[in-house]
Amino acid sequence: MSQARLLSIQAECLLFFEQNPYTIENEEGLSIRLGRSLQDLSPVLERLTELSILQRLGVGHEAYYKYNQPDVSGEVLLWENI
Amino acid sequence: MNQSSSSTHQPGNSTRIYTNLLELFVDFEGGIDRILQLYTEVMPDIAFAGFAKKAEGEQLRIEHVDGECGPSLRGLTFSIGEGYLGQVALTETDTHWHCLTHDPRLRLFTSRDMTPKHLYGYSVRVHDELIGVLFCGSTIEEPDHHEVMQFGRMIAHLWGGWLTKQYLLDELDLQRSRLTILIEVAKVLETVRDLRRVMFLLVDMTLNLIPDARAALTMVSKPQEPGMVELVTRGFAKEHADGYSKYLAHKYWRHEQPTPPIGEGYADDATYLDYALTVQGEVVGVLGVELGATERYPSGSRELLATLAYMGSAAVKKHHSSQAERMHKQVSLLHELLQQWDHSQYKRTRDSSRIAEEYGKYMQWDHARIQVVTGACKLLEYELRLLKEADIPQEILRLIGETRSMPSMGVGDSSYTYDAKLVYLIARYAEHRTLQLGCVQSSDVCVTDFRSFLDYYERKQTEIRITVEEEQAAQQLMSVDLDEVSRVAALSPREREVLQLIAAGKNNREIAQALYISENTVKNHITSIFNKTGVSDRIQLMAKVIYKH
Amino acid sequence: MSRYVSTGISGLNDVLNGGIPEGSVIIVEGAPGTGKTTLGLQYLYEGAVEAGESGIYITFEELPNQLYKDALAFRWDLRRLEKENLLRIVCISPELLMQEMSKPEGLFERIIEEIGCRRLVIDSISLFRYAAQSDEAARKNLYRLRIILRKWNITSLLIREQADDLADQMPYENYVSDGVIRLALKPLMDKYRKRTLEVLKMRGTSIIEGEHIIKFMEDGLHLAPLFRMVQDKVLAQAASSLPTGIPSLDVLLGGGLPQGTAFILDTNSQANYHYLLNAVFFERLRRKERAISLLSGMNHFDSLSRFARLFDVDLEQEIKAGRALFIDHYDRPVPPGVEKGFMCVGDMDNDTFRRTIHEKLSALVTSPDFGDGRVFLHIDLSTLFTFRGLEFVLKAFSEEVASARQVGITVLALCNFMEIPSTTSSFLERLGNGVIRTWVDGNYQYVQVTKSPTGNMSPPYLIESIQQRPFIRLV
Repeated sequence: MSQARLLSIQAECLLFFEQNPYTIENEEGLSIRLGRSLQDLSPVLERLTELSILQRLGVGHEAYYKYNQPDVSGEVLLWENI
Repeated sequence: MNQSSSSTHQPGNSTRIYTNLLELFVDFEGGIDRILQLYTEVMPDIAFAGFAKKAEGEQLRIEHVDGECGPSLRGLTFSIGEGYLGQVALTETDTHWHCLTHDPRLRLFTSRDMTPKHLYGYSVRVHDELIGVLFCGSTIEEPDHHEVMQFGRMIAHLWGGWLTKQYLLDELDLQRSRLTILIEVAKVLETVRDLRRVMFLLVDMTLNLIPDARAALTMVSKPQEPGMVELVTRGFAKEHADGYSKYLAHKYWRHEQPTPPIGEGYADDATYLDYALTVQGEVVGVLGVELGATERYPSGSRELLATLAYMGSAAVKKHHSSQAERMHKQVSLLHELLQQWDHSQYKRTRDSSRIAEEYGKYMQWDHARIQVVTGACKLLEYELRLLKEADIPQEILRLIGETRSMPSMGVGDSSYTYDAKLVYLIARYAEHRTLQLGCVQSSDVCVTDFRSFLDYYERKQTEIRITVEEEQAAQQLMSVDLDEVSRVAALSPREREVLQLIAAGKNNREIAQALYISENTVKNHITSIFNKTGVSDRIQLMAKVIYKH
Repeated sequence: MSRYVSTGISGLNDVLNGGIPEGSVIIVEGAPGTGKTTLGLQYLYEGAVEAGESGIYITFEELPNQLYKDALAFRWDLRRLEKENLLRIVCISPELLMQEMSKPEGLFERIIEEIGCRRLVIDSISLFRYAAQSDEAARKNLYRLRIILRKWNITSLLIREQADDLADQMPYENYVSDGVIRLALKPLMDKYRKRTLEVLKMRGTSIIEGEHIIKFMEDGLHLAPLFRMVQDKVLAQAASSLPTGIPSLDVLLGGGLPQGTAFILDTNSQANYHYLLNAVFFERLRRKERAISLLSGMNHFDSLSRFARLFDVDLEQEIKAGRALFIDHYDRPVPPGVEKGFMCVGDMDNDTFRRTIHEKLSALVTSPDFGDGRVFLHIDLSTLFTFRGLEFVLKAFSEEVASARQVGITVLALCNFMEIPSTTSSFLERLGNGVIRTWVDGNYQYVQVTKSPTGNMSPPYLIESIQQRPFIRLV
């Protein structure tokens, strides 16, 4: 699959989870919701899991994915103001 | 393979060659093997042909071959500059050699028991970068050099061209993809109101869009608390994130010289890119990304990061200004509450805040400073602890604290800030309506400024008073007339209400809405009014009211 | 001691006599578009915002994104609640949910624990059926679900699509649940429709049966309980309000006419204020309270008595018991036995008139059988102005009203604002604790509470006549 296509689908996936943060879905479910084939979706989910943007529960095609929040340090004091 | 040297150029040959070539490239799918095959087919003088692909570092590896004995060459590697083929890679020029039997430069071939008499090598370039060497060899004494070279050159260029085209098309696709994604992100950012979600989106999109990105970080400053930032990261170990964020903070917020909003950094196995988020020239945040070590990061990464940073800036701006609005509301609300419990204090502080606002405009201060000073005037008499609980901004708290600590008379410490002295003076003026210096020196620049302001202000007040009085007088006149007309015409209360609304310029529908009745009813009332006042239209009616004929 | 969980929908808690018994599993069913999702979201939203109880909304089909957007229409910021850990909108497949439910430390229980979940909504359990291998499996899953919910003491709503085909219905769901609420869209008159909610079953609390009307308002669903309901609630309140007998009006007044207040009923001459006044007047008698009518304008005893019967009041009995008194400016023939209920003041001069009224009221108040002191005085000011003159009446009225209020007599004074100068009407408006306006416009009559002791003004309402007592209703 071309880089461009991969990137597009990756972004779609990301935005989907951003809008629906507590969603837990498997490949098939996501394929239906995004309107993308499983073939296209698999490498994307792989890459997103690698980047730890998604968390994978289980293995193989039955595995479920959910959004992994980035590390939030909340409020951090970086310097003192005079 | 035909070894007999029929190297004379036959006219029919050329056409056949070109046709073959054309056919090949018209439907070309990129298979170099087919090219090599064609080479050996069309050039009977050639014994073998191959392609060495450039790999990591300075190595080239023979990936494809055709012709007899050719296959044994597959997998062999050589460095740039090494041997005949290495030469071509180094110089990037198409060359032909007449080979000497024991020439060490022939080692690659002799290692496989091959002894070509002539070697030809061509560089293949994609988008101005060498990707490999196309070569062929002949075992006959006198091959037709010209033919072979020309053909080889042609193939190398055509193929290079085709590959370049593919590469560019892919790049184009990729860029288009990125643009589309950026548009989607912009759309989403438009609707998202929560700052944290904005930051999540920035971090994740950075990881998504920037090639080779391994980790991303974003931080946004808190407007009312200098030194404090919200920090969101992904892919960094904690200490690493700490270090990087401190470095960025120092670079963008603490640096003496103005820094360009973009930076690059290099570590052993990583490259860093960062871009500042700015609102009206002021840095409000940073977006940073760590890439795998590359000599040069892919083109466009900087621009992408910049775009994300700009989008982030807009979102932060929206968030901060709504924060500012909320803050303002908070201050106003607390102030209004005074009305309930201590009306005189409310009035005093309201007056002083109005004076402060006028002063700010007179001195052409920026909006933020005016907000802080008027806020301090409004909340001057509140307990500080309470204000802190109510999340009133630090600056206002500090100003209040300072002003309150100034003694009411005697010589004060000259180290008070201008604004504190100002609030002090304004508060006293609001109470006594005359300038009272208290502990502020009359030679102080604040006093001089305030004095000149008072001249202007007091003059303005007189003017306003006169205008208001005139207006009020006019209005009095109007309502008296309506009452008079109503009474004389013996209008019913409802009719008087309708008349009042007519005088206010409302049309029938508006009157109907205001009184919760139907337009028909309104019309009936109006007809009745006309009858009773002896006029036949609205204009006459209003004339009657105003001029009392 | 079990407590009730508020449903978050005004009116529904009253229908359920307090709310949903804690820990119950309630099924909410209805055809598409009847408001099930809104009800579920409102339940969780109010729970979070009002009671600080966190909740989970499990959706199998609808995307959370769509739910966030829909909620914004009611100004519910669900994302903010999620951020504060008071809500989780979990989009998941039924299969996975069932799978995780059967694991001891499964995802489902982990989410519950993470936010300290007290409320739950599942949209919709109909999908459980389809996702399960068999009916048996579906049943098991429901049991499993209930066990988990019981374990965590979660009060939950399970949304279910209404099955048109009876064969499709799963009765066991009803058995497993503690209650069933049905939402429907029913025709109203010819062209309109009304949304209704009916509680078909509810364990652990008594309910008000019947179809109640629900409405989508700006801030969510509202339920207008049936007629009967308001009266009971009002009785339950401290006896400091005099219910008017017109439930919709009582709602506007916050229970009824507060005892010891004076209300002005402003009308224009065309408005049919009779029903309003009589409803209130006879309601008092119906409740065995005292009512005095100063210039009711009604003629014969017979017509009065007939009217009273409409309101379930035996006028003769009430007069004999001393609870009803009619004071008028003319003599009228009355049947024997009820003379004490009628008094003529026509031939008295102003001062005598005033004194008599005052005496009558004092006697009433100081009499030993005054009881709880709920006396209602109804005055027709317009007629009084005609008979006695503006100035006198105003002076007398303001003084009497002041004294009446002190002893807790509730006054309702009728006045036609169109026939008096505006200064008088403003004066009356200021004097009264409340003003109810009624007027006719076109073919409709309107009523509006424009001033009230609670400080609330109401928008104008249409008066609709109905067949049962009190024969009018505000719409």
